[in-house]
Formats: sequence, structure tokens, C-alpha cells
Amino acid sequence: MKRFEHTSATSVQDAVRLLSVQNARVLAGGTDLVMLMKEGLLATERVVDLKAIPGLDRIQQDRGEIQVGAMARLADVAASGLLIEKAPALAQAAAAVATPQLRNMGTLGGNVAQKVRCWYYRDADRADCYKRNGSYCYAIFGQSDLHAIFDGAACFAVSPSDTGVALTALDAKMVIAGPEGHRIVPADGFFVGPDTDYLRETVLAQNEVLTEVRIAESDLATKSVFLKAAQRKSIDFARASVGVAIAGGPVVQRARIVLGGVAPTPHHATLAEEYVTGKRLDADVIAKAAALAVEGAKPLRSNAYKIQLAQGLVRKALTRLAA
Amino acid sequence: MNEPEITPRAPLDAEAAGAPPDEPISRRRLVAGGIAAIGAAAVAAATFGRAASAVTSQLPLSKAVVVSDPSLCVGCLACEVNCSTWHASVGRSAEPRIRIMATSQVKLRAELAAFLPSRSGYTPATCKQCPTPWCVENCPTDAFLIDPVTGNRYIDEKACIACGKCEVDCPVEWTGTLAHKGEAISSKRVSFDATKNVFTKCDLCIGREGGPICVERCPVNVAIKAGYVRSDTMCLELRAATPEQFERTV
Amino acid sequence: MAKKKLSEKEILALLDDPQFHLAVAEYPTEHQDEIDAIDEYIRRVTPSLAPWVSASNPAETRIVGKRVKRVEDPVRLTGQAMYATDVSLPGMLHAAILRSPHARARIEDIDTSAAEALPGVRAVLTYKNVPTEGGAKTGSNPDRYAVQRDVNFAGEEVAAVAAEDAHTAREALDLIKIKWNVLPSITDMKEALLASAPDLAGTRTGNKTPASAPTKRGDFAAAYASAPIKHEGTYTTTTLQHATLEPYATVVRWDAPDHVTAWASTQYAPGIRSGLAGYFGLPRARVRAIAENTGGGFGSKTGANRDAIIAAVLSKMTLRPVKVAFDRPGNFKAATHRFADILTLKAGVTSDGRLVAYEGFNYGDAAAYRGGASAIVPLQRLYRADNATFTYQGVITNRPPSGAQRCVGDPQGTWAQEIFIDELAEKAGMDPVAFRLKNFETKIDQDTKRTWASCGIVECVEQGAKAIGWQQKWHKPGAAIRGSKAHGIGMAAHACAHGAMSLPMSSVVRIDQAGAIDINQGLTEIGGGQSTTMMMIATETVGASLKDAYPTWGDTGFVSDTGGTWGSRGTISAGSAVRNAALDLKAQLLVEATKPRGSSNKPLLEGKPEDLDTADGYAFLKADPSKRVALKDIVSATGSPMMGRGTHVVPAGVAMSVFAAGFAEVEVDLDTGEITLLRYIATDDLGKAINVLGAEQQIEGGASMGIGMALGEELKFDGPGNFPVNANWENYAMPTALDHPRWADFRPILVEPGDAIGPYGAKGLAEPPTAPPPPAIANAVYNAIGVRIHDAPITSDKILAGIKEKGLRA
Repeated sequence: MKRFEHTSATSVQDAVRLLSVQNARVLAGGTDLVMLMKEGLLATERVVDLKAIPGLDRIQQDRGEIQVGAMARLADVAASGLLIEKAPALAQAAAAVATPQLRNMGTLGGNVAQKVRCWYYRDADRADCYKRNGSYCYAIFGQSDLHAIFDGAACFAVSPSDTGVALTALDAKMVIAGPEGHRIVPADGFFVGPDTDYLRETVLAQNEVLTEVRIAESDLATKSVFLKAAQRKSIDFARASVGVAIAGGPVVQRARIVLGGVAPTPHHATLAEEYVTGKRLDADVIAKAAALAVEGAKPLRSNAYKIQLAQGLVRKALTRLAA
Repeated sequence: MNEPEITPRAPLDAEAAGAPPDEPISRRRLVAGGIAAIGAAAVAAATFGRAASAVTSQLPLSKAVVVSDPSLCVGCLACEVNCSTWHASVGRSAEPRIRIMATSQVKLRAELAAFLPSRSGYTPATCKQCPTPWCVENCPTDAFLIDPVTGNRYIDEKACIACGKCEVDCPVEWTGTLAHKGEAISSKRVSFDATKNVFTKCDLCIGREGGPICVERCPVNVAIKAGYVRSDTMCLELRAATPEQFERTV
Repeated sequence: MAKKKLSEKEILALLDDPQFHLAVAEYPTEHQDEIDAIDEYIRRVTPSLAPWVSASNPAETRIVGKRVKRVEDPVRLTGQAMYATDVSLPGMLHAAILRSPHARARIEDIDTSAAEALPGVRAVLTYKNVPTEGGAKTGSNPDRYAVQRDVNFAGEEVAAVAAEDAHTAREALDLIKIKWNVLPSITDMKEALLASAPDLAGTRTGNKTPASAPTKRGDFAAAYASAPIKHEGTYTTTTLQHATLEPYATVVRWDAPDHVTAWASTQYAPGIRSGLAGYFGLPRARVRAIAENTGGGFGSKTGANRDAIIAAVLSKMTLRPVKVAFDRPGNFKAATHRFADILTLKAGVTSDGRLVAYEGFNYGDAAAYRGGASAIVPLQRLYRADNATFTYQGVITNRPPSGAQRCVGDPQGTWAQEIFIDELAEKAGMDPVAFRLKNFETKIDQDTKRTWASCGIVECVEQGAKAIGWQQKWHKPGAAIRGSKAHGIGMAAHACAHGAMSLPMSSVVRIDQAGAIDINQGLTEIGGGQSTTMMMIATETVGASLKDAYPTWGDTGFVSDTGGTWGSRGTISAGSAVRNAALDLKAQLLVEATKPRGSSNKPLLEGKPEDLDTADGYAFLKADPSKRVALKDIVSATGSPMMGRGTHVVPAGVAMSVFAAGFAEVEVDLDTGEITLLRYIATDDLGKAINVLGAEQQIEGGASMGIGMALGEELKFDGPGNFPVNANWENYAMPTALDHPRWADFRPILVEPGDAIGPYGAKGLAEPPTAPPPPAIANAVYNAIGVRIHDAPITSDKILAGIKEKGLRA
């Protein structure tokens, strides 16, 4: 690992100030950042540690919103009674991340803002990967087991965040602090695909800090579910995941169906969302919605299984919410 | 395969800073009688039934145009994204100047279908570097230029006033469905960038060492060069922009 | 075939050759003539034990056969154990290794000037300054040096830097500039066999290794033609990595111009000693190898690998101690690997379900350095087939070195055979358990006609079937689907040559005046509980208490060579030597106890030595156990410590074979293709358990590795580039705790028929439990959803494809 300066921010404003130098990086749980630094994937001259900022890990209810601080540990998000009751998809997604050890270190903010896990991007020998400002994508002709079936554009790495899928399904708002103050971005607009910029994953600028996520208390958030399929029953990133939130019942008034692990950002299954709206979730409707959710998928060489997997997860999730 | 060579040129910004050795050809210089000074072989040709004018018939052909072999395109969007990324990095419009159209007319070649059976039916398309560039002739501000060495027709975005004349003059379109998220498109290949309020088109990455980035970074091209895929042609490549070439290619 | 004759000189040379011992442990049938000659020689020269002294009756043991907590564990559990990776010496330099990103390439030129100029860098090793003369090779098939110029697999070592600290060494790697000539490469065996494939190793053999003669009995073609039931199938396995918790690591210090000490992570400290001695042309006495603890070997650490060689070369260059510790990706890429195999099996069965014709063709991935990659032993052993032909052909590819991984090629053979047998049973209209029981060969090795010293396969299958509830749970394929969940059970049986005895087998057991027993044997303690086992055998045999002994291991400065800890040979091979040494000591103690001595000229115990026995630290009169004397008092009476010497040899005409079975119960999710392993029962014929606790742990560990091979482990290679893409913990899917059945449903069952040869009836154990889980789980998946998976591992993408094909889900 190259030498770097470690700083500890005392407030959000302080953190933003400390980030004003080139190649300064936010350190939350450190479970991704430290690996990136070790592998030389992210030039880092200064680390700005957020752990000492008071209150940034709060999980609370306020004026019809559930507010979760970006520094809330994934273990706490998973165990929060408030979230389990009011926004279960988020608690379930946090519980599905990695392992107990990593959930004890990793934070919600870090989880949504993490870099991709593409095995070519993470291979120190593949410096010519687009995402490393190179000139090639190895996944197109190589092993694409983990890669995108939707919306790949030059880069085919998938968004690895489980909580990002849940937050998108929950229509959450992301609160971002920067030199100009705060801005609020909907989860739908938070993630950046490679068609916009393949060097980053989110709208966060280098000198911005994600401070909080807000979820409106609603029928939609309460009736939500997150499911994940991975190779192993622990540790792994999602091969596919789904976050579903439904308002109304028995006739669906509003539906958000978001797929994870299949696209460079959390992927809205728009056709399925439109299809179930105004319908009762019986077995036929669920089967049709699941099929629509994967319509238009364009798999690479070895990831076609994700179509069936994502379809199966949507079927499972809708069945669970219908019950 | 005789690939014409594109001589790397200084970026546009650098040109603006000092006097370049070879002045680009513009409408104004043409009208002012600069044609003789160019000394280039002029070719008269019809473009979609539109005859060459006195001016366009005396313009040099472009020594290069980006052409594609759709039977080799897997719709990965690398050309679009890299086009956009590089142009933005040198301060030009981030609108992709090459677009991949989704079409059922095209079938992926077997060598590639062996790798990627689901990714058939794409056609990359960009500016054809017309033999008769009406866009150049009709530009009122001399934003439309021709590189005297390469014949490359390009837009100086700083001089563009977004009047749209070039768009009207452009004989080729992107019409139909894009590979990018299946979005619909109906646009000329000289297209408008609302963010920067300029018109933009393929400029063969003028100023970029290594030539057009789409050709260099097309992963299919890389795979062919590395021997992963056997093919006599490239997915994207540079050819001389002859009238025959113009009529034949997309 | 004429038996090979060996001179006494040749025999002594082989006895002293660690590479030979390793080869014998892994492929005994290929070296049968040499083994027989050596055995015969040792029988001739070894002094026989006193005829009246005997070890305890296996049925009446006091220590052997109990559950004993391993003495070597506490230091590890408390984090105090020192592994090679932990060794830190004054002035020690740290090395970093540059690996090839290409699978096949030649270095045109390498520029290390910038790396050498980096402050803190002390030496840079490349092809330009690597030793190549004399014994300075790490392999010769093709030539391998400490670092390579001609690269044969992605991840191969091409340069090494020694620097004052690890960060500097790593930083220096980035400064090395290489001009590559990248050559065409292949990692897929089938591609390597195509006529159009490039000649990867310049052998002009179509990328095939030299062929060995097929094993033949009877007339397969005729028997197959006339069999009423015929079946054929092709089965594949893939490249696996041992993923030892401790990667390859060695610290080397040149103590003097002609003396080297190496702290190694190894299964065989004497192998490190002979490897370094051979490389540098030093007498073996001038190399000391120490392996205090080894963080897992599983067959990957059998001698001086490149970590040891590079450390030694850099240490010699700098005259400073040097540590080489592979990082995790380096270990995944460049340690040895379980080789991939392709097996095509063909069989004919009579209408009443008897196997009469059996053919197996096996392509094995000999990979970049042409290792043996055969998988046919289980095919030869487990089922009786009077008409059979088995053929092995190695294939050269650019995969990383093939080597031994727990049970070597046998899990690959068993994967193929046990799915195939399941399919055969179905074709014959028989229950898979009944079909197997009908066709097992339980008496002899059908090819050598030697008698098995024991065989517990029938008990393994019967007890396992009972434990899992086969009668109640087995059903027609796909007949137990409820909602999105399908339930199934399956089984597999296994036989292999691991767990047989092999040389060298010699040991010394000492006792001093305080009664402390020291067991001098050379097994390297790698986590399998070998040390405690040796202690149990020694104290049981001498008649002492466990508390009176402590094992010594893993330092060539103190222990003799008892062979490597591999091939499931430790307990029986070193154990036999220890038992014999302990018996020799017991005989001496009893003789001394009955010698008249002292001023009274009276013996410590009246009577003849054969009237005495020992137990719990005392020698006593068999007729009157109250007449007794402490062993330490006997030693004191003689005035000096006493020492027993022991050597052992495999008795003529018999052979050892180990047997195992596995029973799996699974649930398959039809929406996601996920497999949940609900229960796994491992039954193992281990002859007799010396330490019941240790035996159960070994079975669980072996079955766990098998579960990994079944459910996800696979080193994947980039299609065109041929470099591994998942050389890390994240994407190389070793099973987690949650991928195993719950504790109560993950059960080892010990089958103990007793063996005629092994110490106290024991046979080897460590490897066979690895083989049954993959095919047992594959058969259970078939029982659940009616989908046959022939290509390991059984991953959800393959299950989903099968579910779709069967129309179980849209």
C-alpha cells in the first residue's frame, strides 16, 4: 500500500473541507476502500474518516420519514426494529450483505457507494480495463458469469450493492453534503451507469459525502421485500437480487420492482411494474410479471442464467408480498 | 487492406492558441478564392440525388471515414461511450457521435455468435464524411472545417452558433431503435447537444493521438487483433471516403 | 510383464529419495516392482523383535480408540502458534514476486534498473541472474527455474525482489519493465487435443503426455456386445486449488557458506531439506528444515516449491534472511492444483443387474508442468468387472501445475463412476444401494490379485443407508416437489489406494529416568492430529500414560525421516514404525526389569520377561498385577535413558485399500436453482480409529472439501486470455459454514472392521472422505429434480438450465 494521510473528520462540514484536496477519499467502514488502496485501484493520498462524526449512524423516525445515517452499520440496519417494521426490504438487504464480521464493520453509506466487484476490474494485471481508465472490457469475450444482462455499455460490471437495490425499490432519497451545502437526490438518480461515466458508480463527487438516506413512511415501504441469490449462502455478492415494494391491496396501486446484480445500476423492471399496477397478484399475474421483468435482457457469453434467476426471484418476491 | 493514415493533429484548443501551419479549409476561405491554394483533387459526386455545388465539388475527399461491419457488432456500446468520454475530456460535446442502432436486419457472424449468441442485430453508424459536404458549404460561421491534410470534416464547437443549417443539410440519419436501452431515435448524424448548445458530429477524434477512439477501443477489434476472433474485416475501421465507399457503407 | 530387478545400491538410493516416496504415496501401482524389491530388502535386513513381546490387543486398549483432545491444538487456538509466515529474524528481508499476466509467453527483455534503484531494495532476481546450472531447477518437465523466462501458465513467477520491508518490495515490482512475446495458449483440454492446436510444449505429441499401457482384464468388447443392458456417459471435473489458510511461505537464512536453515510451511520437512540440498549441491546434513506448524497442505506442500527456492536464492544473494510468503492470488495462481479430468465410461450389465463389462477412458489435465493426472484407481477397485479396460491419457495445457490435492485423482474418478453407476442402476431397474451392494468387489485387487487386508465397503453402505433413512426417503426422480422446493437423496461409494502403508517407516522412542517418553518420528504436523496419534500409539504400546509423553515433529535437526504427511499414510506408516520402536523399548524395559542388579543382586520383578506386561506407566507380573514397578524406576536402575528402534515393512502378498461412502439429502429451489444440503452422512472404513475425535474431525474436513468440489469450487480461466479470473477468496467459492448441513445433520460414521496390517488395525483415513460428496450430491439432485449434472461443480446456472429443460418452471 502506498503512503497516505489519515484524517478524522469531526463534522460533516469538516469532512467536506478535508476532502478538498486531490485524491482524498471517504473512509466509512473501510471494508472496500482499504482493499482498493491495497490493490492500487484507487489513488488515495488522504483518507477522511467519518467515524468520529456524532450522530451520523442514527436510525430514526422524523415527520413521516425514516432517516438512516450513512454511518449506520449494516448489522444495526439489519437489526433495526423500526426498519424491520416500516421498510423491511432495507433491513433484509442489509442482513443479506457479506458476513457478520463485514456487517459489523460495513456501513449503509459505504455499501451503496462501493466500487464494482468485476473480477477483471479487481485483477491487478488487467490495468487496461475501461473502469481503470483503460481501453478494453475483458468480460465481453471472457468469463461473464457475474456481469450485466441489462444496460452494459463498454463496461459490463454490475452494481454490487444489496442495499442500493432495496433503497431504489423503497424510492428513498439520498442526502449528499458538499462544498455548496446539501443536495437531495432520489435513489433512482443516485447510481451512475457506464453510459454516463464508466469511471464511477454514483453521482457522488470526490468531495461529497453521503450523509443520510430518507424513506417516506408509507404503505409502499411497509409492504416491501428483498431477496438475493448468490452462489454460497454467505459472503457472496448477489448473482441476482430483487427489491419489491407494493402499495395497495389486494389491487396493486403502485409497484416498484428493482433488480440487482444484473445491470450496472439497480435496474427498474418497468414493464413488470406497469403490468401489475391495477391488478390482483394471483399466480398468473405473478408469472407474467416475472417474465416481463427480464424482457429485453441481452446476456453475454456465460450470464444467461441470470435471466431465469432474476425471473425466479421476482416470482418469489411477488408471491411473498401477495400472501 | 490499405488503411489511410490519419496524421495526429494538435487538439483544437491548441490550434486556437497559436497559428497552425496548415489553416483548415472553411467556407469563407473557399468563397474568398482559397480553393487554388489547397491544390487538392476535386471530385464531383451526387449525394442522395443532391448534386455537388461549385464549392463542394472542389473540396478534397476525406482520406478517412469510420465504417462498420455490422455482422461483427455485439452492441456493447463501447464506441458510443468512449466517443462521449474522450470528447468530454478535451472539452467538446459529450454527445456520442457514433450510435449503435438495433436492427433485426443484421445477423451476427458465426465466429462471434459462438461467444455471444444473444447479441446479434446491431449497426454502428456515424458521419460518412460525404464527398459533397453541404454542411461545410452552408455553415455561416466557419465552424465547419476541413482538415487540409486529412480531408476530415469537423466542427469547431467554439465557433458553432447552433443555427442548425448543417443538420438540415446532412443526408444521413439515425432512425429507429438505439442499442442504448432500446431508446427510439430520429436524428441526423450531425446532431444537437442541448447541454452545450452546439451541433456536433464525428470529427475522427481530431487531435487525438492514435486516431478515432471508437476504432481503437472497439473490443471486437481488439479481439480480432488478439486472434480471439477470426475475421478479415474489423467491426469498426478507417477507410478512404471515396464516393463508392460513401454509397456502400453505413 | 517381467518384474524389474533392482540392485542393493538402487534400493538404497530409492529408500533415500523423497521424490520417490511421494510418487509411491500417490501412484503406488505404477511403482509396484520397486516397492516389492524394497520391501523384500527391508524384511531381510531388519532385526526381528523379541517373539514374546506384543502390543495391546486392539479390543483391550487403554489409550488407542479413545477420544483424545489433540495436544498440538491449544497453541494454535490461542493464536500463539508460529507458522513460517510468522517467522521474523534479525535483519530479515521481505520478498515480493512478479507473476506473468500471460499464460504462455517468452520474455524478450526485462529492465530492472528502476526497481534496483528504489531505496530499500536489496536484490532483484530475474532470468538474467537466476541459477540454471547443475541441480538448480525446480522441475524438469519442462525445465523450471526459480524464476522463469519461458512462461507456461498465467501467474508463473518471473521476477522476485528482496527489500527491507514488504511494501518496498511490492512497490519495486511496479518498476520492473518487461518486453513480452505473447504466444498462443490453451487451458481447455479438449482444445489442446484438436489437430489445429498449437504445440504448447514443443513435444510434437499433439499435446499428449507419453501414453501408459491400458489396464486390461478379460475381453471388454465381447462382453459389452453381448450384455443386454448397455450404458455410456462422459463426466468432467475442473481445476481446484487447495486454498490452504496459510499460503506457500518459507524463510531461509544462509547461516554459513555451506549451511542453510529454512523455516517452511510444508507437509514434509525432510523434503524441503533434500530439495534445497539438491538445488545448491549441499550435503543434506548442511540443510536444516523446520516446520513447527503448517497452515494446511492438502497435497500442495510436498517439497521445496518455488517459495523455498526463491527465498534461498535471494538469501544467498544478499547474505540476509529472506521471507517469501505468497499472497492469496499468487497462491491461487501458482501453487499446485487438483487437475481436471474427463472420463468416458461404458458398461454392460446382465438382466439381473451384474456388471460384466466396464471400460473407462480418462483424459487428465497434466497442465503446464506435466504432472500425473489419472483418475482411474476407483474404477479399477470398487466394482467387480471381469471384462474391463481402463486407459489414461495426460493432456498438456497452460493451466497451473497439476499436483496432488486430497485424494489426488480419485474424487475425479469417483465423480464419474458414481453418477454412472447410479444411471446404470436406473437402467437395470434397481435401487442404487442394492445395485452397488450386488456389484462391489470386496476381496481382492482385481488387477494384481492381491488380497485386501480388510474391506468395509458393505458396512459403509449399509450403515449409511440406515442412518439417512434410505428405505423411507428414496423416491422416483422428481417425485417430491412441493411448491418451489424439490427434495432428493443420493449416495456414492468410493475406494482408493490412499490410506495404504508406504516407506520410509522407521522411528525411535526414548524413555528417560523421569519416565518422560520422547517420540522421534518425522511426520510433519499439518493439522491432521498426527502428533497426538503417534503419542497415543507410543504410550499405548510402551504401557505408559499419555501425560508422560510429548511429541516432537517437523525439525530435521531433531527427527528422522518418516516420510511425508500425505497419502493418508501417516497413522499407519509412521504409526507402525512408532509401534515397533515402542515394542522394542517395551522388550528392553521388561528385560531390564528382570535382570538381577544392585548389592542384593535381585531383579526389580521376579520372573522371565515374557511373564510381564506393562500398563499405565508400570511393568507388572501378568499372574499378579499387584507385583509391579514403575517404568521410570526401571530406567533409573539402568543408569541411562533407554531407546527403542523400530522399522516396518508391508507384509508380502496383501494390499491395503480404503473404502468410504457418502449419503446426501438435498433441497433444490426451482426458482433460483439453489441447492441446500440438508444432511450429509459420511461412512468411512478406517480399519480402526486410533483417536476417535481426530478421526471424526478428519472425516468432517474431508467431506467439507468434497462439498466444496460439489457445490462451487472451480478455478475459472478467462476464455481467450487463459488467466484465472477468480484467484481470490471472493470468487473461488469454498463452502461456508452455512453451505454445510447443520451440525447435527453432518455426521461421520466410523466403520472399523480392523485391518490385518496397520497398527492396532488402523488404516489411513484423511483423503477418502473427500471423494463421495460430489457424486452423492449430484445423485441427490437427480433424485430431486430428475436432472443429471455430469460436469462438476453443481452450480445454480446448471441447475436452472436443467429445470428449464424439464419444464419444471417457465
